[in-house]
Amino acid sequence: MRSLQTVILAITLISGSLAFAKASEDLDSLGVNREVVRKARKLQPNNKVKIVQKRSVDRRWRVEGTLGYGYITGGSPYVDSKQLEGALELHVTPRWSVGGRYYSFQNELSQEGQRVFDGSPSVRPDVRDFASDAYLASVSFYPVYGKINLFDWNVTQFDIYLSAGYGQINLAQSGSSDLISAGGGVGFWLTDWLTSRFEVRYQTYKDSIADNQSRRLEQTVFTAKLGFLL
Amino acid sequence: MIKTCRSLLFLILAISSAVATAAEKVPFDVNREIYKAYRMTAAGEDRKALGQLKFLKKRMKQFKVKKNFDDIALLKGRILFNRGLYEQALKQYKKIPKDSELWLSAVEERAWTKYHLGQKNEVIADSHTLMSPLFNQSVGPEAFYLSAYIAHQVCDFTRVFKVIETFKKVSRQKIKTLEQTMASHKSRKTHWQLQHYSEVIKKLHLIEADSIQRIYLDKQLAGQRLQAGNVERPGPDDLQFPFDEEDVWIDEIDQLQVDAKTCPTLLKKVVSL
Repeated sequence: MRSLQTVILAITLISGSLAFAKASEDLDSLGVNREVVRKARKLQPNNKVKIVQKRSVDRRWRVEGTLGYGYITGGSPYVDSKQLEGALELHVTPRWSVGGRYYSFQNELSQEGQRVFDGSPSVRPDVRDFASDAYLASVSFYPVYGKINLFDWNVTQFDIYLSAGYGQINLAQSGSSDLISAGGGVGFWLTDWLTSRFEVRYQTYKDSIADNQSRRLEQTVFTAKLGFLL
Repeated sequence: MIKTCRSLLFLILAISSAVATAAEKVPFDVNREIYKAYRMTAAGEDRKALGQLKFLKKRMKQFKVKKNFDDIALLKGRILFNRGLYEQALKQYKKIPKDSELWLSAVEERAWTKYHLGQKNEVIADSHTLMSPLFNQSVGPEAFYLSAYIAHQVCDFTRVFKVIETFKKVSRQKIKTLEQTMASHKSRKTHWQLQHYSEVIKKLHLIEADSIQRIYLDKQLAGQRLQAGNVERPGPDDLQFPFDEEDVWIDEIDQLQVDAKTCPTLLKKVVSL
């Protein structure tokens, strides 16, 4: 009886081992018919697979406070202007936000202004009506979103936005003037509370030059901002 | 007076320290308790196992034990799945977070659960997650079977062959190693693993054979496909990105949405008189 058991056990083990030895052979015989695979490829079922994910930073009814530094081109050729910006942006939805901005201008003579100033004493560049500060109410629309791999540190979502604004600019000589602005930029939502924006804006206002003549200035502003979401 | 105050202070300190130590010390081994529940399940005592897990969770809350919740959720999910309570099982599988070691198993098992619930689109989404190049080396053979099976179910034969090809690529070395180990020194674990591979290969052979048959059939009916199931609409704030199986971003894992078509069917025209 015992020998019979031993024989059965041996047979089981041997057959088991043989079966397992077959595993790699069986594996090799899978998917060998290339012709069929080629035919299968022709039968596209048109299944749609897409990635649907939540926004990493919720921007519904959230306030974003930003500080920015901008470089201004255009306008008076004799003045180089930079601006410091402080803004509060209320995100109504991830697509729309409204905001209020304050700008403080830093002005200095441009190279051209300096050259003219250093030249003939009878000719002085007219830079008396420089901008000192400005207020702007704006509305922004974020139609395009995306994400980037930020140096393998984080996958950061961003929105490209368009903004339009209207406000007042205070000038040194002629007082306040209407300020109109339109532009766009990209906002990176780095963490749930930290943001960063890069913006290009066109702005226009009227200042005055000699003989109280008014002149329309058209400028482009490049701004980098750092923000905090509350 | 000072002496009395000092001794009183010492006494208070000693008591508070004893209370704190008692609160920190957990009077049971969580792993052991979970293992007990496993054994109950193996013995067919599902109800008893569920009771054991419920009691364990209560005690863990009591002693503020914040580990092994994923083990409990997975086991609970398995028990509920075996009892045919798929909705409840799914809830348990979804409790397992992505950073858990058990997450891949949970995705695989929840995919089967969804299959039983008829949520084919979601099963396909899960199968895409499992077949991501990020997890190719981590998932077991069952994940490949699941992916080939669901692709076969919706007659996505391209994907069937793709899954089989990946399975061959990924498993060849693993199977060889197992066979060599089995030849040198037999162990129960190796035996079981090899057996599992053999079973999956057999199943894949069947799927492949049936796919070959149906390719010729479906060729005649190409284009006549209906939707495989309901597709959940993305929310207004959700972001949508195109899916590239070969280029998976870490934040996209388990974020797939599928709109699959069923197998082609011959649609009969109804003629009204």
